[in-house]
This record gives sequence, structure tokens and C-alpha cells, in this order.
Amino acid sequence: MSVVRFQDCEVELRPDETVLSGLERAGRKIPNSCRAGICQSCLLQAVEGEPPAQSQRGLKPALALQGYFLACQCKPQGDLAVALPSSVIPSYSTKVLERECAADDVVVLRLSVPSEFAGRPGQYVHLEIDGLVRSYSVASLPERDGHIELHVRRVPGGRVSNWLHDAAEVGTECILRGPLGSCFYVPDEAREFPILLAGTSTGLAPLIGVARDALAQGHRGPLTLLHGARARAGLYFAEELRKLADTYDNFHYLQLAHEDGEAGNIEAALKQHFRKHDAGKTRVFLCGAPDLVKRMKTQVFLLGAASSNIHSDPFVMAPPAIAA
Amino acid sequence: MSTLFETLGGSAAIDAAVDIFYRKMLADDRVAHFFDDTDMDRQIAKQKAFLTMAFGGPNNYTGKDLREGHRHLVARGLNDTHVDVVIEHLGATLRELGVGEDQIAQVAAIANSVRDDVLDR
Repeated sequence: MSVVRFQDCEVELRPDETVLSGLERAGRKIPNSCRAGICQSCLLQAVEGEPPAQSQRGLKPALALQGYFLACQCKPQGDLAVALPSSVIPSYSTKVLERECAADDVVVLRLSVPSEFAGRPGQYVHLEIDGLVRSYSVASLPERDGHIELHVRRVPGGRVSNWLHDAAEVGTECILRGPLGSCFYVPDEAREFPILLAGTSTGLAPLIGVARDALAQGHRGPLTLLHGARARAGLYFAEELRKLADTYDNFHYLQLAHEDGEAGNIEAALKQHFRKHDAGKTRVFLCGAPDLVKRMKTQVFLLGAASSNIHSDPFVMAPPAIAA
Repeated sequence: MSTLFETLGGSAAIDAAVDIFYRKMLADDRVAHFFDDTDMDRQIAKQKAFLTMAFGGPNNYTGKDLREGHRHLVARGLNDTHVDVVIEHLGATLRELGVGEDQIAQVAAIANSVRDDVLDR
């Protein structure tokens, strides 16, 4: 019989019993609602062992790849160690290898890759500075590039971002926790589906991460990256993105500056985009200011993108109250 | 005997229906404003739970959940006309998926049966 470990308890499952029922029998409270594999509120993560495919049905592939499963559908073949989502965040020590001022208010930091760190471009990590924790997205392919690239926008009055801008130097050490989030590229057999990446300011970090990853994995479908900023000067990394567009025929890069009025309107650009591309087949990645991301999510959904194909990590940009 | 939920195609039917149904709701000015503050991923999960119940599938919905879950919307003016809109879009969604009228009527009857709970009366 399979044994399930959760926190400090061990349960031997009865024949035909699910992980959810077994843990409840052991007196554990696991959030749940429909108990039919639909509402996904009983989501758990396997930290050891393989959850059966049946328990991952309907999950976004990025979640399934990270061992997430639905406890109410899970009758494991072997033993499993399980945890509540995101209660397992490994912690590493890292140091600054390189820093680059990309725009007036954006510094790009490249950090050493701790051995065992398995983050994917587009996921995010927590940086811990003096007991303060902030989230930043991974823009590089850590294994290939040999560094973890983070884009840090200076938040007025923000203690962490100002410290990273003004005090962090090459060689500075800090604590990194992660990876978190499911905003990353998952290939299929043909690698021909269209990809739309849209975001503002340092929301570019996960988007360029996903683009670099997809291109490195030989993605053949069209990739379009829409980068918005208040002013043209905020559209950093333009040269690198143009170079990417020159190198790969299927990569398209569009700059949208709010100061250009209608021509720089990102929501108008999304509408325009789906006149030419099949929304139903497109995988969409969105990042930036939370309000804008929420509006863009609704907009691309109404334009025909499938809800399961819309990816955005709500914590990628901390709201001002937390970012301060 | 198989349940209505199974006849409709089980959880695969929910997956097929949820985007169509929620898109109709968001595109309809009569009800779209009730979703202004909500996160889409969480909404999709809630809509799936609702559709499962309406299709007669397994669920743990209680009258109390439905009352508490909609009380803030009732305060914002949720009333019978909005429940009618939900049932209208539910029917149109199922019609798009090729479901027969007698089954649509069964689904509408289940949705109708929780009307008083949703409207907190």
C-alpha cells in the first residue's frame, strides 16, 4: 500500500483511497471543494514520488511538470511525500556577478547560479535583503548562460530596490529563494503554436526569459513581444531585442510608449495582434502593473484566447504597498 | 443509470463549456460589471464548480456557501434578472456544444433551484 507523507504525519492509504481522503482521515485539513477534479482547490505538490497522470488532468502543463496534482483525484502507485503549494521554497546563497544600468530606473543584475537551483526563465525568485523579501523574475537561462538575470526597477522609497540600485556591487552576496510560479515555456511536439508576450517596464524580464527559452528550444511558431513603458526611454533592452528579431525570422518585437498616444497603446496593439493571429491557438504571457495585467487578461480572453493558455504571475510586480 | 453530468461528458464537458460560458458573461453588459474586481484564474475555477453543480455533477455546494459567496454581489444589486441572464448564457453555451433541448432544460432547472440561495432570500 502507498504511504503518503505530509508535514509531520505519515498515512498508509487504504485500497482505492485518495490522498485527500487519507490525509483527512489522519486529521489533516486540506483545502477542497468539488472533490471531482474540477475546482482545483485541493492542489498539492509532490516533493518525492510521482503523482499519477489522472491526478494531473486539467492542470496547466507548467504546474504538472513541477509535480503539482489534485489530492482528490490522486490514488498513487508508490509512496508520495506531499506539501501544500509553495510551502516548499528552497533557499540558496548567491552573489552578484555583473550589473548593468539598462535605463534610468532599471538595473539588470546577473547572479551566480547556486548548484541545485532549477529555475526556469519566466519563473520568479525571492531576494532576501536584511530580512526584507522581494520577488523578481528570471530573464536568463541559468544553465546555459551561467547566471540568473534579474531586472530591478527603482521604486520610489523602495528599500530593497534602492539598495539593489545603489549599494549592491559585483561580489555582493544575498539570499535567493525559489523558483516559484508557472509562467514558463512548455514545448509540445510541433513547437508551432503562436506565442504572445506582453508587458510593461520590468515586466519585460519574464517575457524575454520565455522568448529566449522558446527560441533556444527551437520553437518554430511566431513569437511576438509587446513591450510598453510610459516614455520611450523606458523601453530598455531595445538593441538586444532587435538583434533577436534579426536573428530569428519568427520573433517580432514591438515598442509601445505611452507618450506616443494611441500608437503606443498596448491594449490597442493586442487587438491588432489578434486580427492576424489565431487567438484560440496562442499561448499568452502577461506581466507588468497588476491592474494592467488584469485588464489585458480579460481582453485576450474575450478576443478568443483559451483561459488555460493565459499565463501571468500575479506576484511578479509587487504592489506599491509591499514594494515600498 | 448515468447522471446528467455523465451524459453531458463529465469533466471534459466542463472544460469545453467554461470558456464559452464565461466569455458570454464577460461580454454581456448586463452582468459583466459584477466581475470587475475578480481574478480570472480564480473565476474560471469558480465557474467550473458552478457548471459541475448545474450539470448535476459531484459537488459540495451548500446553500450557506452560495449565500455567503454572493452576499457582496446582492449588496451591489444582484437580482432575479441577473440569474435569468446566467441561465440564458448557460443554455446558449450548451446549444453551441450540441446539447439537446431537454437536457438544457434539466440544467436550467438545477441552476434555478439555487436561485433563492444565491439571492439570499
